[in-house]
Amino acid sequence: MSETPNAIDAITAPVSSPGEKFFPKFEVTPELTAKAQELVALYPEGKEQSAVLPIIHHVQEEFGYVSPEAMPWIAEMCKSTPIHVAGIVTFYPGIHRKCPGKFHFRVCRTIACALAGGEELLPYICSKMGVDPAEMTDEEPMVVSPDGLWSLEAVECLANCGFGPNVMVNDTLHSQVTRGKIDEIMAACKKELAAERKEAAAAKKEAAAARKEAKAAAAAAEDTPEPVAEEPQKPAARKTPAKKAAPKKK
Amino acid sequence: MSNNPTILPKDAAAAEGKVNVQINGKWYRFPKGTRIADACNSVGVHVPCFCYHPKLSVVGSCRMCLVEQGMPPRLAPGATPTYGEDGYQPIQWMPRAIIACANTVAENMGIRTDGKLCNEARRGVLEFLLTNHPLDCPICDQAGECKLQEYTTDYGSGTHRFTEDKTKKGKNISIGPRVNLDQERCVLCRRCVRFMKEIAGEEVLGVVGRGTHNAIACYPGTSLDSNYSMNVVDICPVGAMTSKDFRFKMRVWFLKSTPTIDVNCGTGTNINIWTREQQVYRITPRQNDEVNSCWMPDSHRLNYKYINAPERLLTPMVKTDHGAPQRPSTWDATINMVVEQLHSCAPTETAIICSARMTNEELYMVRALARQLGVTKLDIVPRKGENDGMLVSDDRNPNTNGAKLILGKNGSGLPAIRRGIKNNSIRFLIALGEDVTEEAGIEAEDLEGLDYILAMSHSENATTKAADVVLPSVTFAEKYGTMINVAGRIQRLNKAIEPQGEARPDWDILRQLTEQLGCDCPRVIACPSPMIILEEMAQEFEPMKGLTWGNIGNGGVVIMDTGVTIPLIEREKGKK
Amino acid sequence: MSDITYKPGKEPHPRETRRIFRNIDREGYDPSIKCFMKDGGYETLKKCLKMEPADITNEVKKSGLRGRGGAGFPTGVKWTFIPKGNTKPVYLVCNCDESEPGTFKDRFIVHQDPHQLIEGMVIACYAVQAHYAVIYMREEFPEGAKIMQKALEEAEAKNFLGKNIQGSGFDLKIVLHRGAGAYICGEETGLINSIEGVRPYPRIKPPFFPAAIGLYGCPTIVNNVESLCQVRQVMLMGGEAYAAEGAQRSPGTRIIGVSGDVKRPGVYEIVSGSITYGELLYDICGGPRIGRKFKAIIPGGASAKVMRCDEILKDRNPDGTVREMTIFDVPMDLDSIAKFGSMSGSGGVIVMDDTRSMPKVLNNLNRFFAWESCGQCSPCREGNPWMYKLSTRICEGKGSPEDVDLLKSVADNICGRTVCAFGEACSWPTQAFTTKFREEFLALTKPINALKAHSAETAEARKFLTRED
Repeated sequence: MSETPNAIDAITAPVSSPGEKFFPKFEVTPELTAKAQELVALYPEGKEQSAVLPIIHHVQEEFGYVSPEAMPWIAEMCKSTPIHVAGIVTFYPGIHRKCPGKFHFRVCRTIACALAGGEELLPYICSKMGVDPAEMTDEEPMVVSPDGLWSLEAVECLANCGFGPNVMVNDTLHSQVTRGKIDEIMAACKKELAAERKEAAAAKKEAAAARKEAKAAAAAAEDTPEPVAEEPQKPAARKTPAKKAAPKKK
Repeated sequence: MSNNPTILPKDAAAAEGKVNVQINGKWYRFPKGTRIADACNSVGVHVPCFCYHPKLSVVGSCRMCLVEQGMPPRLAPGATPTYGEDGYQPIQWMPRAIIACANTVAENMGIRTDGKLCNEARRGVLEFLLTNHPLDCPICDQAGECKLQEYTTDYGSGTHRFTEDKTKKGKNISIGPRVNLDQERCVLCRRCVRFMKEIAGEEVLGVVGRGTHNAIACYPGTSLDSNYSMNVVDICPVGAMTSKDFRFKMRVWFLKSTPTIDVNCGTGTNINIWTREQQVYRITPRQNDEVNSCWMPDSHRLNYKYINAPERLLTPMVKTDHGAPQRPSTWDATINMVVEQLHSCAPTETAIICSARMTNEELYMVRALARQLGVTKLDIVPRKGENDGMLVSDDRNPNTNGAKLILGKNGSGLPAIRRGIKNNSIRFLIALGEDVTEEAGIEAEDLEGLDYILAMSHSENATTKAADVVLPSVTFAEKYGTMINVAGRIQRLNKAIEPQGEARPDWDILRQLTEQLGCDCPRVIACPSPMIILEEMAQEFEPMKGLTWGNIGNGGVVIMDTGVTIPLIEREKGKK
Repeated sequence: MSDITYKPGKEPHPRETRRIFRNIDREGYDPSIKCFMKDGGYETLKKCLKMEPADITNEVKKSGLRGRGGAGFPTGVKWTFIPKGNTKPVYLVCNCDESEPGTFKDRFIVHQDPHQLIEGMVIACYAVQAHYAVIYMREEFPEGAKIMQKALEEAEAKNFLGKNIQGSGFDLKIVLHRGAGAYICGEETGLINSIEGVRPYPRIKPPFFPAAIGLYGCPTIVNNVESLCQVRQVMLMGGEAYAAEGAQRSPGTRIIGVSGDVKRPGVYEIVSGSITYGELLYDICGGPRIGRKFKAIIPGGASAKVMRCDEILKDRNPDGTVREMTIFDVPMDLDSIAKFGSMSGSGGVIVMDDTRSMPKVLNNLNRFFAWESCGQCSPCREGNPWMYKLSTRICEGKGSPEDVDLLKSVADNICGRTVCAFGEACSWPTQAFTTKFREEFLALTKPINALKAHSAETAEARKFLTRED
């Protein structure tokens, strides 16, 4: 049994995913803390723990998933303990512990959608995304494509049973999905990505120009911001205007 | 009840604040609000439980305690209830079993634990619990005291219908410095999680995962390192939480358990000592709701290794010449020698340092010895520590109250003795059960300056090394006696093992010395046992009046009001 | 309601009665408060705020309204379970964790007509004097959450929420709380635990009946989305008028979601008991697809017991004579189907035609339940994966005839022995499928499989247990 990995360390063992390049790395900023406090304030006094799910949702929206580093912070925010937060995070299937791709496909495979052919869509989407369908198991139903652009998750009931098969792409539900429709959706996603990249590039150019200008104006400037040119796909550092310009995951 | 037909059983019970409940066909009365499980167990009808623990919140999740329940039929509006010849309403049995841990008794309720419904429910639940269980009893430490094992033999089906792959979880995880976790053996009763949260007040354990992957865990980087962590081993009904100290040491069915008390602090935690062939293997807390509830601190629990340690003194040791090394001797020769030596010690130049770790009976004998010798410089060694707000008292002596009562000493005379040794006004020292170089604060070089040291101790230490005569006595596990805890409760120590080597119980050594020194008081010299000494004391000391070994019982009796309380017990009472 | 036009292709069927769904797929209607108020929205609330809270409860009791979340408990009666002389705050929770497979009614209300729910909630809160309410919305409605959040803000801006609502002195705060994809959060005590921020294990009842000990240990009323919308409808129509319509024991309209093998699946609002299953499936939904026959119907969400379409059901006429019928003759109210061992639950009808393999359908359901079991109590935690493994093995042709009986027996051992109703929900499908379609299961099995190793570990162990000489 010695080769069995320690089940406890596995709770916070980082799971690397190619999707990470589309999301900023978890980082506690004053804005994030302020947002968490705002969420805590929604609940009656002394019931800070209630905000654990809302805070997790917010973290997930911002960073794509709940990374191991985020859990103690969440616990601190809602006056709970890290193990408690880990218990919550590992319970809900809607909370990702692995970063999904830029476009996260959730395919319903429960009875009504299955009758409508939802399960047959899975191998097709897998092949389109370039992932191995065998990687999807009952225990780990989410797979991410090697380029990090796509991820696919088989989920249970999306509550639109009459109009199956249902596929959710990020926050948008597509019903009565066929192979053709998958092609369309993926094409639209690619288009969105291209537009986003163009916009980000323009914003970056603008920022670079502004920086150059600033540099020229104050020759003895001490705190020159670091150039962000190395990783073109990454949303630019959080405080630059590029971030605000880039449309968030819808 | 039936003699007086005008009073129905329900009214008679209501007058006492009780309700009538039929359990397996027999009627009993229980106070209102009693849990069905407690009610059944109190009348000898066993209800198996995993998750239910009387000291923890009820979660009702193991479903082991399902029982068949019935109530009188619901009446149509306006109808009057009918009573049978015995004065009870007929019981309408429910088709669904209910859990006995969360539900309370009610008037005219019927409980059946021997019917088909209940048996099938138990068999079903046990089968489920065993589906993903590793079935590794032969290598499991809990075997022999495992609830899953016991219930399976009592109520299980005996055969196994599950032939699929089992869910794999973590095994042999070091979850804390003193506790190991096996997630596969776990039945997820969450007793440990609840204990740490509700009693220990440290939420370090939790459940992670979901469904069949649920598992007990602590957050990586943290560990179950509370001073109360080993209680989770006790309350774990299966072999999921095991004690690192006890793992693989001994099968529990070879062990004998002796009820006694802990001597590491003034709380006097009630414990069981588990022994085999004069060897102590482990200590577990014993329930006493007035002293320690069901718990004990790890620091106390693990402080038993000295009992069987090589440092134990096994024979009397004497120095025949000044400066000569100690050599073993016989009891008779040693006692004779000591008596001779003590006769030549001037009482005014002699001091006795005894211990509040001694039992009342021993302290009584210390007093007799001091009186016989005419020594007045006598005191105990106080030990103060920090109160942990749970069970560990700030008084680290187990019997300070006994010393106060019997000797009238509380350690305030110790500095004078210390000074006397330093300035040579004390030349002879009798150290009873204390290493005076430790808490008593007497320096080793000062000891060298003394003319004579008589030491009585169970283990070798700096004082015994410096002593002229060493009398080997016994540890708390090897003797009978009583002690009075911080809250004024007198409790019994029971002998779990025989004295090691030639060591003798302290009281007996002291009695013999006193006798040989010329004492002729029959109340001292004729005492055959600590129980008789207790009776002697009961006649002399007002608070002990009427006490006998028997009426102290395993739970102890409060004999004085000290105004001191035990924080954990106060909290527990406050919850009720 | 001829003044309403619906989007092309989305027109209601003539046999429908659109009340709650009045504005669903309506031409020119959006979820804004403007649209809602133009149509008489919040007028009922204004009327209610002038009434005594107890009178509203009485009106709802009089209406005979029964909860639409699945259990069908009378809503007004539930409200009166708040202990008398209660001094703790009272909470109201809207259960919008629509997660029963086959049910998809709340989605439309949340996405298209959120103010209807808010109005119903404010009325209900006023009736039970709750000043803090939570809408627990499932995570799979991210857009719905945005719409609802906006609607809440609009309502607050117009003082239908917040302090001193419409000058009545009544304060109310509604918080939108999103779940995270767990079926068990639809169970009311699991839902409460989820809001409290602990693992959403259902609580034991007794003692944790939400109306007595609910959210934060205070009395809490948990109502389904549709139920709360129906409360508004009751107050709009008057309790007696509401009670007069539809089935006697379950009055009002019901929203039925039809999915599976019919020509026109979808959601339909009908007067309770006004049509039969046959009329629903053949008239409204257009019958089976061309060339196929209906084989089985799950009448009330995935956990309801399946009904065979060729099953002869025996019912008693009022004069005591026995009447033979099929599932198609059973009226669509809350109770009729219960006589035949199933339930109409939350109104999700799943239909399967003769091309479907019943063991595969069951296996799909078993996977769902094995995945969704919270794992708190032993029978459900251990039983569900077992049932899933068994049904998978049978579907793969690796089962033996005994496995079919074992499957049923495992389900029997879960049913009635768990903390919450999930135990019944997960065992009913297996019990019903293996009993009613036993021949289909047996056809997939081979007796020899009983002797084979079913797991890698067993195969490995066999090497040591069998002699090879």
